[in-house]
Amino acid sequence: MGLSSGASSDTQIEYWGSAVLSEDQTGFASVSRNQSAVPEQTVFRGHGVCLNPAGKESHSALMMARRPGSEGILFNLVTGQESGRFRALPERQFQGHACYSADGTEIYVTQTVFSPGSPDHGKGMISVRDADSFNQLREFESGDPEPHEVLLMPDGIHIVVANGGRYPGVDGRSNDATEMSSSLVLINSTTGAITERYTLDEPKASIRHLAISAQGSVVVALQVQRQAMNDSAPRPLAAVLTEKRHFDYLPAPENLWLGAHDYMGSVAVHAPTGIACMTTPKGNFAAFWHVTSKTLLGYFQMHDVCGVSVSTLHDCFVLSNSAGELRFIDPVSQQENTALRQSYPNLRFDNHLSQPVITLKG
Amino acid sequence: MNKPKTLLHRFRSDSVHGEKRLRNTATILLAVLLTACGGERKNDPLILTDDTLNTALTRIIDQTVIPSVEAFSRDADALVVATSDFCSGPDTDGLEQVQSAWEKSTTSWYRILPFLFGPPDDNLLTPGYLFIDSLRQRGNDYTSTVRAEINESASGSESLNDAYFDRLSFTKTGLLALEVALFEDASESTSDSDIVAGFIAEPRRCDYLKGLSNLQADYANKFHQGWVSDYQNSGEAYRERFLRGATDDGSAPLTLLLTSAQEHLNYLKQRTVADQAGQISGISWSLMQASIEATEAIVEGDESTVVTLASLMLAAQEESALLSVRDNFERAYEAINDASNLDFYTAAGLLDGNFKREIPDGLAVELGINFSDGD
Repeated sequence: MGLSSGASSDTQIEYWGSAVLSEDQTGFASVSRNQSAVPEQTVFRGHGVCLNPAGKESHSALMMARRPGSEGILFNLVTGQESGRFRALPERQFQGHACYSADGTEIYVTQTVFSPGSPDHGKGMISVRDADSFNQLREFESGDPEPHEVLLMPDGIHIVVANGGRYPGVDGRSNDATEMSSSLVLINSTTGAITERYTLDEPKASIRHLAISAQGSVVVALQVQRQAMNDSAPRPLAAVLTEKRHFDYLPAPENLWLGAHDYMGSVAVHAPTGIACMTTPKGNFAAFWHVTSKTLLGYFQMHDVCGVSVSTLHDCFVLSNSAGELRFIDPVSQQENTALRQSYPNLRFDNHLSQPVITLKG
Repeated sequence: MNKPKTLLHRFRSDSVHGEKRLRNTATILLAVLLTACGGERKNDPLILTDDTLNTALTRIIDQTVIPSVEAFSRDADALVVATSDFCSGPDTDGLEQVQSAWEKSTTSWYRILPFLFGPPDDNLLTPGYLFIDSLRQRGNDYTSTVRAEINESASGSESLNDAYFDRLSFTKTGLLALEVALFEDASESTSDSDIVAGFIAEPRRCDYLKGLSNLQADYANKFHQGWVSDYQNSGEAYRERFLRGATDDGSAPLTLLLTSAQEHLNYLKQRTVADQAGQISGISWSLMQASIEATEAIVEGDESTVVTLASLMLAAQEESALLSVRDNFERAYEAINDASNLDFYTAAGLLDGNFKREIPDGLAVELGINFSDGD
């Protein structure tokens, strides 16, 4: 496991942000190797954490509330301190994820209409916010119910949205999977026009989490709604939209899907190798695919693993779990570099780790 | 722009590695007294601590898990011997003996099923347990697959050597394949004389039977050796690795044990195992009995055990939680006695809940975040 060119772990510090739980509290934590975690309490359980690509010097990370939520909070990854927050507008519920525009001036937030009795109840929406004031600039439809993760495509123009596809119950928390309409859509972030829409042949596969390779392929983590199905046959839980716009499953033996218990929780791509890592806390493992060749490379077992990101300094994947552990995994060998292992026993990392931020020591 | 608000409370960041917060908050004295046993001093009050939990865990492994794995290995070997004896001159007496040996090894297996981690489950993609118990994968009944394979091999010409059996998929091996081979003939007659006649008429049936029993014994011995001698060529027994917390996925040992038992109970219910296992031999309820007894031993130990999960739940003043667990085990036994499938699955479901909630909560053990669907 080598260092990327120009980077040195001797002179630089790498930070990741994550929603955390601790005893009965919820919060946000920024963690870095050989540093204490810097956790901050929040009044809600957080979920996705995204970075501003144009504002790396600010070291800010935006954590959205777990769905259905009403808040997003900006944190400084280095100090751990809050630097701003915003709330959902009336009759809207945040869905757990957001991303920034390429120039860092706008934030795209997944949300749904919450208006029981209204024909628009449950409609998937994208709220476009000013990144400084957090004011909503515009809003457009995501095309299907339950938009979850959203990422900016490499063209800087389109966003890709994972529409989970379930319709909401009246309580706003539960969802009905009897009828589903899950999709992967590309949306022009300026006009709101849905330019491409893709679906899978399994109607109960909920498209929820995304990662984008350097080549522009979108890797998709799925969750299958077994309670709405009549059989026990395992279903694939990973898919890829290739740069040539072919949308299909990633292959794996039946026992791997069985072991994942219908739940892939998070996904990341290691850009230099084009290897995707997908986690399943219900199966206690992470699985690795070479995206371009659609080849399963192997798996790494880790209890309750869900968060996955990359380490730029150490050129590898980083996995987190509910026991407060961080493990650093070589993408090619799928072996852990145990010398880098970290443990924060007072924290339970929630679903997602942010991309890393690197600062100079001192 | 919204201004930063006053920060709420900070988490403690002075974490102490290895400290179990919840457990420490639950170090409650109890009214149970120890008898001299395993190094504890007589009349010491039993309290819920990491040490006492480890003591209970060690005893579960040494008094329940490893003896069960050893028994299955021994019984699988006995089946090999009985098969060889039977095939040296097939008759009804010999058939009954080999059927009895199969029943014994199958019952032993059902005592292992609640502990499906470590050596039987050492490979995510092709775990060894599948080659013993194809039903365990997801409740699929491969009886027709097995029947076709046995009948084809009996009338075929391919050499039934080790290589042949090594190539077989898990859907054609293990307890089910042996049951079909031993308890019915090619026309699915379960008459002993018909079965024996089939072995005499087609001697390759015996070759097939011997191959299957040898394969099963190989796995059984491998599981046993993994537990007590050498796990995955590490030079270390899985027992030692498990008890020092070096599990494959880093799960805490007690978490792994409780999760395994919980998944087993969920399997019994979700896959309606009482309706599927041991159907041709007619020993389904014996298997359910063995399985529930082994699961209960996790909580209660045996008669000689003092430091058990049950006594530690009492130590933590979790009497009502333990009462719920005990009531549900009783319910399971009653369902088995009554041969009531519906009541049995209800009891298994309730016990599944106990292993998810009452038992870990009563012992202040965290199983994980319980990541929710949709997150």
